[in-house]
Amino acid sequence: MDEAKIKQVKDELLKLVKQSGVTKAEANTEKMDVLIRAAGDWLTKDLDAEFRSVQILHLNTSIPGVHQRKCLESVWNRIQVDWEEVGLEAADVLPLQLVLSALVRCNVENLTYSDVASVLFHHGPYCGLDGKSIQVVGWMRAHYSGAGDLGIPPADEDQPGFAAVETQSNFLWWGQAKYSHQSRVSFRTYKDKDEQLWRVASEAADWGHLLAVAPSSAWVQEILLSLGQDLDETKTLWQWIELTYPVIQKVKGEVQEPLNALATEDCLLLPVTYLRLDLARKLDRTTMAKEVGVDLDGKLDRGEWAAWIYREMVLEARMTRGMS
Amino acid sequence: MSAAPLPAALVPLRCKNPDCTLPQQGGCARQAEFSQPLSNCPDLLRQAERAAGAGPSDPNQGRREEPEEKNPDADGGAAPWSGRSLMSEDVADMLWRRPARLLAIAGPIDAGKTSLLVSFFLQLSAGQCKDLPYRFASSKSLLELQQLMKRVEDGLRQRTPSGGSGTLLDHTPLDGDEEDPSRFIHLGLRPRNEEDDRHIDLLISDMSGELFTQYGEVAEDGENERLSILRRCDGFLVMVDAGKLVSPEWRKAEADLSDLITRLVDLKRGGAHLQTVGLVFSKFDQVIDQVMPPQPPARLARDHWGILKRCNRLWQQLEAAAAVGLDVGVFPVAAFPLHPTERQPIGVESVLCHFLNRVDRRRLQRVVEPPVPVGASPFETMRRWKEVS
Repeated sequence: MDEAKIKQVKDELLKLVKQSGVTKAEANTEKMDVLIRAAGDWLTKDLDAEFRSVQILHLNTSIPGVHQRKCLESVWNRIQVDWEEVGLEAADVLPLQLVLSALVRCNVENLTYSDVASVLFHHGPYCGLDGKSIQVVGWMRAHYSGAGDLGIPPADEDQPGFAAVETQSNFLWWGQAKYSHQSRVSFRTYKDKDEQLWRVASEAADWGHLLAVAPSSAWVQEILLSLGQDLDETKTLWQWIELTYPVIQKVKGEVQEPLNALATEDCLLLPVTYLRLDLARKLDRTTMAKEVGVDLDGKLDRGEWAAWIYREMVLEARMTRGMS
Repeated sequence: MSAAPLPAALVPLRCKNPDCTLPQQGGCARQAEFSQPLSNCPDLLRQAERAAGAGPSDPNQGRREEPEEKNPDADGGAAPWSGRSLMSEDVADMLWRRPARLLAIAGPIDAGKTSLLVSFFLQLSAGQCKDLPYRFASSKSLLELQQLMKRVEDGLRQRTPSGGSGTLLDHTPLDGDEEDPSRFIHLGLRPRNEEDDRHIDLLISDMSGELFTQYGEVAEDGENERLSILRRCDGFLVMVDAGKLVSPEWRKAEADLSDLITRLVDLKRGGAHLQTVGLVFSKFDQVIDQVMPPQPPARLARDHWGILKRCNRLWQQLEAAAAVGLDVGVFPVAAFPLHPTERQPIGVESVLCHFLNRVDRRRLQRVVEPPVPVGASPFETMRRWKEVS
């Protein structure tokens, strides 16, 4: 990263710092400089950085021991290359979140970040974040609002044509037919509403992972509505998890790499993937709450739960197959 | 009366009733009539029917045979919709059965009617219509829309930065079927309002420009019989290429358009259902250096339209339309703008917002729940509450 870019990131950081309550002096420390250079390098070179950085941004800094989470490991290893003496403490997590926000807002990563990992920003409200972290995630969500939306016609002059639109048409066609290509039966044949929801939402990711997540998850909900599901039925996240766990065990779909390895290490923000990995071999609320870091008492309706499942499956598909 | 025993049902089960889910381990649609549908429901396809067709003893004799393909879940069967555009009879049927809204896009050849339709579909299905109080829910015309998108895609590839003739698409050909040349695109819409769970069918005419030219020119009703479905329209969008109105040949374009609006005013005076008319200046990006469109509140005033205010007849007809009770709107639109930095559609959403906000006004009844005191009978409380209120 050249000096001009570093200056740009520092300016951005100071803007964020001003709003988050961290002092200018704290922002201008040598440690902050190291964080910017090392985290910037990590974002551009580490293949997992895109995914891990979103998890880091959603870390609840008020939870004791948050600095020991595995999702921090790779970035911190990189920082220690530049500064051996630095030791990771809980108090370092918020500055790291600020630095990552500033780097991403300055497009330092220059990756497909927004396409792949922005899916997870929808889970932010369930993370129980405190004031400052909420602001950080809020900035990021604002930064990525509308990320992945299709340009009509495509904005890229080098790629004429409606490739994404064709994908979208196929997705609409699949949804309207309500036919499961994986099971080779109509989705109507599943009388268990929770199994039906799971099968629709998970198969939808095969068709819609290249599309913008918000409208495509709305289409998944529309499919469920036309299948007679009551999308307004509200339960806590834990209740939905309890209903879905037996279905996942019955369906037995494996989590593809690289999400499999990454989520096995740290499953923050990914309750559905956690269930699919079934690492604990049983459903234990306390363990799961700690592992996935989301508020299991948070309420959401059936439509929102379907969208949640869809988003995690989209993340898996995007990480496995890429965005093209 | 005891029914004669029916032949054994075909395996796997297949049913002619589109509402039946018995073949998929669901329920018989006529369960109330036939407690043992496998042995006595006449809608299930049976051995003898397949071997010999419906014979004299066939209990289905005299019944209207539904095509097998009507069952959406039958393995190997076609979907209950072909994906093609709908014809007049489908539309008439839909208008009777469901909350459907009918919109005709009218205008001369190359006015940009199909481009507007495609552009709107692309925005709607991609979730980009943020101001529209509806979201995409279905379409019985997906295949047709895909084909239209393909044509637009081809047009975009061939279009030069200068825009050439300004024509993006080959104009929609007149259908060979002279009996029913009207074609409609179907879009199912779901209101964003969570209290409104309707599925609204929006039917948009996708007709050749030639038809509308004839429609405007020929006044006799008999001549326009084949366009009779248009009398049931909730709204008309009258489209004109803005470039033609600023060109030296603007009088011809204005005359064609004025004739068309005159016909719509006559229709309304004749008691037609029509509620709204929108005048759409299409391809507006190509005249933006000559005419700066006014802000929405001022768009009905001709003085704000620069060179376009010279179209006296057109503005007069719009005033006449407003005078007969039509809700009139004027919109500058660029469905597929030429400029590389402005490739997103301009103004398309607002046209459809105008139409739908006018034709789908619906006051939701507030659910009133009388407070039931603890230990009281709900029915008794309700009766008393009703008497009091």
